[in-house]
Amino acid sequence: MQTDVEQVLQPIEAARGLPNAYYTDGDVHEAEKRSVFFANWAGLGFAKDIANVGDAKPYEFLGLPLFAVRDHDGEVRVYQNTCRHRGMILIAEEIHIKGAIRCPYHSWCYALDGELKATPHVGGPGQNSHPGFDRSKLGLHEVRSHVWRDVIFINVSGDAPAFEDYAADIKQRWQEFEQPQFHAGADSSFSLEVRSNWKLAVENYCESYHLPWVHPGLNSYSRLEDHYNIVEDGRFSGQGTLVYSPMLDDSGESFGTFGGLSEKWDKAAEYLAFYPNVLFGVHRDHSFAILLEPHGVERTVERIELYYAREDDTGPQRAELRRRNSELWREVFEEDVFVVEGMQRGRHGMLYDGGAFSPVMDGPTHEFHRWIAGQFTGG
Amino acid sequence: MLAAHAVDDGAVLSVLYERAADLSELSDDTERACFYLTQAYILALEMGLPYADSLEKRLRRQGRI
Repeated sequence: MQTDVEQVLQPIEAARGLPNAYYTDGDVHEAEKRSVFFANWAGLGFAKDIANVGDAKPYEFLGLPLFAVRDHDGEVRVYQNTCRHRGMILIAEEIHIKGAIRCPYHSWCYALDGELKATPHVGGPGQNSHPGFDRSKLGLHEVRSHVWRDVIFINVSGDAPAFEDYAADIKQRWQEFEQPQFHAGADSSFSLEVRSNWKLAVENYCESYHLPWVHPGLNSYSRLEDHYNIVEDGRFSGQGTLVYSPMLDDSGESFGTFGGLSEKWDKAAEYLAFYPNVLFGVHRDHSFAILLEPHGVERTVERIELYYAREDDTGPQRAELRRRNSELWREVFEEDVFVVEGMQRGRHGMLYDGGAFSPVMDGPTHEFHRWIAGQFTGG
Repeated sequence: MLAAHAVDDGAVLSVLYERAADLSELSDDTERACFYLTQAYILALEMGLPYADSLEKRLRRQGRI
């Protein structure tokens, strides 16, 4: 008899989706933290949020207290947000560190490279060292990190393949977009909170099957048959369109485009879920990244950041066009909320068996399920 | 000093602690001076103030680091 996970791993015609417990059960969620999020390269935040040397931002990553900081070399570093002394949280809010990170409890101080620099009164009042105390061994615990497309990725377990290898396939696919992109500030950021397991947001994002029903506005200029699935045996899946043609402004005003793109991108745009929790979109004139933050089993925050191909499109002269673009995407993503939340409610139906897939239309979703199942089975 | 603590003004506090250390040294109270020097040093370190180095050297001379 096949187990539930073995059913997921079957060819799409015979497969069933992930069982309900993967969306509703706290124990599975706990196991998922380690098998899916800690063992792989998962999205934590955005490098733009710590733009300057010394900028630091705290995170709760599935209950794990972390902070990211930009060090003196301009690199993003991620540390466990826990003092090596009494375990106090070091950074409680976004701050600019001028010199050292000082624990607010007993004032142990850490450099931006994680070194424990000073331990006041550790040997008694006015005595800042002790023969039996070796502060060189008490630096901050660093978490492996890598920034790609402005997303700060982390590998908590420390034993995932190097990011360049982990992301080799998706980077190869989007090689032409390996070039600077520019964020315009508050008008290019928004977030949505959904009452759903994070995986349903991935699944909805990576398929185009739902577009004519959930996004009827697209039917007039981006028909279902203009889309294609992107399914490779790797760490991403998604969909593309062959008719990207933004109509943001009646006057024909448009954003500048990335340099050196091949002809394909005159009309194409692609949307990929990079497993586990980052959703990317690329177009000839802008891109976006969506970070899915699981806040428990049945709640997810989606952080959306838009980036433009040309730095001069981030200035005030393009503010109205950017506002329209942000609004367009917000409408699309808000249209998805009811299905993502509806699927979550549906997964409390005890007779649901994970669902059957369309052999033609659901390939990207099935690929994601297979990947998730593989994280639990070592596949 | 308490007012500076209340508003978490590390730069001012560091200067005040260093002055307290100077006064303690004048009174030949090395223990108290090193306590205040430590306070001044940590706050200067946190604030990235250039004279953190000189405070560190003073503490090293006293064998306190």
